[in-house]
Amino acid sequence: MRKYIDYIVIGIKEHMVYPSAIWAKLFSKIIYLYLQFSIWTALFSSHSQINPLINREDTLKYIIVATIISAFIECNTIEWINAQIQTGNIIMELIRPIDFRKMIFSRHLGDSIVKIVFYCIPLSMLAIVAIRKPLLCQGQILCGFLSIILAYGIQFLYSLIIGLLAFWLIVTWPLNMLLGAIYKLLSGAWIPVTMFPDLLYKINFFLPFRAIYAIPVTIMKSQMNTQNIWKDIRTQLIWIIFLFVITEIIWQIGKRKLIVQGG
Amino acid sequence: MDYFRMYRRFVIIYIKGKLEYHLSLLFELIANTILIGVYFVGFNVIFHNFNSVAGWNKYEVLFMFTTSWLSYSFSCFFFWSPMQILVN
Repeated sequence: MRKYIDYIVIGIKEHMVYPSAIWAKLFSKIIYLYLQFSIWTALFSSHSQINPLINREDTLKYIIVATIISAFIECNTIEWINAQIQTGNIIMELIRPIDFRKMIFSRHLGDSIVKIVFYCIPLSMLAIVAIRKPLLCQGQILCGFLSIILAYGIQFLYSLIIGLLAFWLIVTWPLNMLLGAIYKLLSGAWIPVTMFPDLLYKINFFLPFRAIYAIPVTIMKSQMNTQNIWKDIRTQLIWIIFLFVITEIIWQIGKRKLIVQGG
Repeated sequence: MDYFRMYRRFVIIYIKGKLEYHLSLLFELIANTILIGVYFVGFNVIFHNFNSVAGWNKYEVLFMFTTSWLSYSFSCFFFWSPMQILVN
């Protein structure tokens, strides 16, 4: 356990090594939040709404909460595994007497701690000051946090699966780029899933993406009955188990297929 | 003039590097094509719920988006990607 805690510390130190980069990222996230806010405000101010079921306040709340969650939930595991395979450093990582996947998770956890402190908290404070209305549904905060933790796990396992595909593909960034866009669209990080047309909504129902943003954000900001909350959390748990099994299979087969470039 | 020659060298190295891994290049081309398709779907979702954005209709917005994407792609090819060699 001690060695994984050390990796968490490494994750924190790696992220904090360039303080100016932290400021630049925080600034970019504030700009992104402002852009999202402006786009949705412009859409609702146009009075060209077709769907009567959506409203400005709910949508803005959704987008703000999703942007704040995205500030720490996003995972650079894919790029990291890619770099390790391409430089050949993965050999050094694999011969260490630790579990490779747990090591990556520990680094990611350390990285996320820094992101929560330096990005999520300032963004939340800024949003609260700007909106001047409660963003979260008070009675469901605990379930919301549980859902965010599950979403964090799903996001990590999904990234790990794509990252481990580099054992076969050597370069996974095009796959990452492609799936990244599909993921951003279907997860509800850009557009609330309630706005999706019927067909897209049905397709999305069978994919894990909505469990990363749409489910936790909806639990955090909308009044829901207990039955529906637990149904959503159960869906997330099923996806975690499913992705975990897939990761295990890919890892067992992939480590035998590893091709090391350079080194 | 030396800078221009060096820059031209970077572009050639970049193209050669890209052509070295066939599967990766093919995958990249497919991924880029589908990527823009996903953005189009995103715009369609928005215009499924709204008629216009501040007076701009769907086709006008798509035109602006693709024009911006085109200029971004050119800048990536001529500047960003060759200069990445300097970083690495």
